[in-house]
Amino acid sequence: MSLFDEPDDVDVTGWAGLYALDALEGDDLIRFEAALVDNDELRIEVAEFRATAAELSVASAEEPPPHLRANVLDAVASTRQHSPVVDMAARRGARLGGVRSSWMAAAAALIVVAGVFGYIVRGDGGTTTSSEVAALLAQPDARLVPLTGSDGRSAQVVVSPSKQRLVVVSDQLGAVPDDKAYALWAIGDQGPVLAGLFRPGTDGRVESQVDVDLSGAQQLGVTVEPKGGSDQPTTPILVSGAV
Amino acid sequence: MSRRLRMSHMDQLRSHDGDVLDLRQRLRGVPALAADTSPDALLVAIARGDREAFTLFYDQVIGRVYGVVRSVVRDPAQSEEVAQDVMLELWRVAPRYEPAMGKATTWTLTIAHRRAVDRVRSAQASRERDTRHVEMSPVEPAPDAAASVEIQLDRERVHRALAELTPSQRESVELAYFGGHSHSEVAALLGLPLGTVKTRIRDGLIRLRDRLEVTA
Repeated sequence: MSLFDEPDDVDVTGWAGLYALDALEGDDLIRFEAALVDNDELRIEVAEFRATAAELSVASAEEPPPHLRANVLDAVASTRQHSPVVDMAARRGARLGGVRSSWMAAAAALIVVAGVFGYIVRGDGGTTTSSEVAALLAQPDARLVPLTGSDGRSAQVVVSPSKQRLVVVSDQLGAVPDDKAYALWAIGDQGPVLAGLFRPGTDGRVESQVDVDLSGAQQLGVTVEPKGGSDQPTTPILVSGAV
Repeated sequence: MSRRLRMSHMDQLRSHDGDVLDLRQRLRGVPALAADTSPDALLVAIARGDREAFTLFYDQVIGRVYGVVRSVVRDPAQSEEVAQDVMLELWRVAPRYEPAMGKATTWTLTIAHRRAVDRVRSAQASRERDTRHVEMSPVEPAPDAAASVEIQLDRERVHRALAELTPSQRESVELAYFGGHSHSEVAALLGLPLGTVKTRIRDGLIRLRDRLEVTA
């Protein structure tokens, strides 16, 4: 049973509470996140319900074992923060269409990420999904920039100028040596500027996002660079596309 | 949420950069409950790699993080693991936090609840084989003897708000949030149709939201 069989917003909105309490699973979760893409009212309701749920946690507050604090602080001291690029291993491929309508529909299929908002969905083959990427897709100005290469490889970039953020998705770029990384270049009148570095996950998929201002960029391109990055591309561009 | 600062621990941490020193100076120059030790302000500092800010943030949220994880996961050792993952995750992704994702504490508790639910749902198959761990009733959190008056007042406020729900609204919300049960599990546990559970959870949250005067 799914209430999504009825297309009107009232029914979809009815799921915000379940979503905020992490009670949606499987197809329902995917469909709800797809509905979030272009429904501001729904997103506001989710945000309010999440804040409400967070308040409930006051009722179950409990002192943790005292050693947890030292363990966490020790771990933090040796953990690098995810900035500016975050690699997110995806569990399953996605093909994005070339037009907004199709990739919005594909938002449900753009099953992303064991990242911060990663959510393991049981019962449909172990897919993973991310509200974070859904949130980017939900930006009114979000658009798809397909990157293609002469050898037929491709990658997709979802760009939101207002959020100054983009997500790279590809399952065709292949592995890179440990001392290398893929570099995404924003190419404008001033030449290429390094937008971010990324590596495929263990499954060969790329799902990476970076905060970047693309206002001067006309093209995006990907090269292989040393893992610390380069000032300029040092290898041929593998895939590229017009912003 | 009360702000429990453990200033003594701050000095045990080495500072890394100007931001840390700046925060330390500001903290020393102002009363302990100054505005810039609010979770939202601390998260901004954490995003810049400020470990002292993280420590303060940890002390402010860990009771709620651990509590919600434990109410869902139950097993103390696993709860501890999940709580540690949550706090580490927070540290890692803080640079990507933005206010549109909600207040710092909301964001934190959202991550905590998700992680807890992920843990129990991925462990569900094995857990179901082990009847000792099957928990089918909402958690009634144990009173925390060490809790400050402020926390107790907050807790009272939440309990009062919950008490104003209809019994089935309250059960549905509690099974989903404190129990970490899915929509279909809540429906099965209460013997209600999915649509009814959906409505009760939504109505319950609306009432709680208004009663607790929550803003996103």
